[in-house]
Amino acid sequence: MSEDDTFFIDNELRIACADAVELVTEFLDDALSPEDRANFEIHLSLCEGCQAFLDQINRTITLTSESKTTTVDVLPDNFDALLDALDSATSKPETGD
Amino acid sequence: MQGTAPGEPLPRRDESAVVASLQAGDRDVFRSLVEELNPGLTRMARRYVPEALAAEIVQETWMAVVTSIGGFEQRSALKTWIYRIMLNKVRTLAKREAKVVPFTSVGPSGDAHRPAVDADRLVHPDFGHGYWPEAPPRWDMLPAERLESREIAASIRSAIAALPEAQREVLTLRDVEGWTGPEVCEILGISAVNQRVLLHRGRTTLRAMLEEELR
Repeated sequence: MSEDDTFFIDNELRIACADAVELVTEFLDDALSPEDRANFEIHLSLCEGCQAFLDQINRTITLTSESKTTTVDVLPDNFDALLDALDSATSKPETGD
Repeated sequence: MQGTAPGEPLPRRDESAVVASLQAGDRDVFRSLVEELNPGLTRMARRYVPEALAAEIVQETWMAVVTSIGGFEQRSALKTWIYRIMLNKVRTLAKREAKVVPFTSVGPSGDAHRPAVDADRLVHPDFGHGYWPEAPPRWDMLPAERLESREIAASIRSAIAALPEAQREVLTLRDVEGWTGPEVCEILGISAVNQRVLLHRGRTTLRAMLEEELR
């Protein structure tokens, strides 16, 4: 491939894959500047490697949320003591008799 | 999970009524608050210390909430305030116990500038450095049983445990607990940019681990 061809493809892709893979989290958070977003989307539409990378990141996020352990008690063991403490912390001091 | 664009000020739901009820000692309101936050608090604490200690810390956190709710002035969201109490306790303890808690010191550190994909993976025969020579493996072609297996979930949990602390905190809150970017910035006291850099490092480390695992 001649240097001219390389230059043409480089322009077509807008940014290198090495840059595109660094923009993925900002892209997903919708935090890219309009210019970066346009470059990223054009690159993505032409680059199978970065499409696969984005899909992998999306699946990593899903799998991470699914890895959450479910063996967690809804109430702590000391809940009754907490209720007592709530009563004494929030009750007005007795002033009578 | 998307909702608010990260970096924008966090819209705060009006919690005055909830806080007022707690300050008046309303047991039902307290119970729902505990039910809502206790599982996430416990999971987060377990990222720093072993389970038994995490349970203790969370109990102490709730005790601190109960005894100081009277003075809570709503300068931050209630959830943020409670998480900060827990994080202060657990970080202090994790530091003190660092010698006996195996995972706090394990794993890559100081890798904030490590690229998302190793530079030697991105060398195209014609285009040169910075381009995929071929696309990375397609995970959408893998059977769901493979991707969603217990082994994969366990690998993800240990990879999260091995992340540097700041990445572990951000990734856990964002991708495990499903918090928004602005919520994570508020609770950890970090900028939107920093939050995304840490999240990106964490995610790309997990992706690389999974790529190896699913090879």
